[in-house]
Amino acid sequence: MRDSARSLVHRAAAAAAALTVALAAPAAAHEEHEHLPHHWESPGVRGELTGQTGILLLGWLAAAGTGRLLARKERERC
Amino acid sequence: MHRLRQILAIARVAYLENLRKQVLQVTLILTIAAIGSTTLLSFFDVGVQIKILKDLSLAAILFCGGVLAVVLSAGNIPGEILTHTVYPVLARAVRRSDYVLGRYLGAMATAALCMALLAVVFLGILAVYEKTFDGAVALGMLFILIEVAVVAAIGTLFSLFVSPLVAGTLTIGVFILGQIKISFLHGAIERSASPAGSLLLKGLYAALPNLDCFSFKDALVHNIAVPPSYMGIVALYGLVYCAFVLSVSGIAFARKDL
Repeated sequence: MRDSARSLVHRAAAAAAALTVALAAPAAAHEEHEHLPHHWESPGVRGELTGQTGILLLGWLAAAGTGRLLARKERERC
Repeated sequence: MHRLRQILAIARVAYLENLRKQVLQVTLILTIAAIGSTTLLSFFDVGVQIKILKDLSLAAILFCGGVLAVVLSAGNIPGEILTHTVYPVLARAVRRSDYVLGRYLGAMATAALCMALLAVVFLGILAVYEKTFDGAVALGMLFILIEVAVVAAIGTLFSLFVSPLVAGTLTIGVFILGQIKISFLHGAIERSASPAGSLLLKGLYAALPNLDCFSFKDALVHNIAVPPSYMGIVALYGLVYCAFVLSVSGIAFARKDL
């Protein structure tokens, strides 16, 4: 019981420390980021996302086909 | 229809298992505490306070989402193999890819529940200050959930090849590097003097998901309009990324010697 409580306190302390760092970073970087162009304003980012989506879609179709083939082979073996 | 029922049954079990995880409950309580603590900054005027509330709360929710994605995905399937509970399930006519999908959907259902709880707290506090419901912030949180889904899918894939600890560490790495991909890595490639370093960075750039595209924090904090078409592209990118990674995970698990 005591070990469990101690473990919970340790985890809470670690999470609190990580949360403090995570919260401090965006607050500190806030002023610097304000002057940079946003990703939704960049045509390059939009093009990159569209291209990657196309490639991933093809990859997904290929992977789904391979998966179906493997499942059929597995059924035949059984 | 039968397959869908099997997937949903596996997802339900995974969801109920995940709800009992202590680390999830602790992270959730701390994030709610972090969101609540931003209301203590009452020495600023209301406009500035709303901006700080949005900025810090969205950062806390993103952090919580990252933790959820890592915790829920890294040990999701290896834990089942370790406790041998996977064998009776696979002994029935359940496809291995369906098993991976079911476990992933269970993890995502848990993450969605946590995000919904955080959204209720955050939007409730925001409504008190703004005297109206902020739909844009709710939409922004939906994109954080898609980001969590992408990271969890990657974590699930890693967990099929390496131990949960290594998978978790790698997923954290992807989560952090994915956040700075466009803002930092792109510039680092341009600034890199050595060809080998540039090639390494380009490889890393191509392999990492564009996680910073899911963040509309600046737009929400400063009330900047984001084109709906861009949001559509980002949402589609996230969903296709998840589908691709899960398909590869299904193949990897089908070929895994259990």
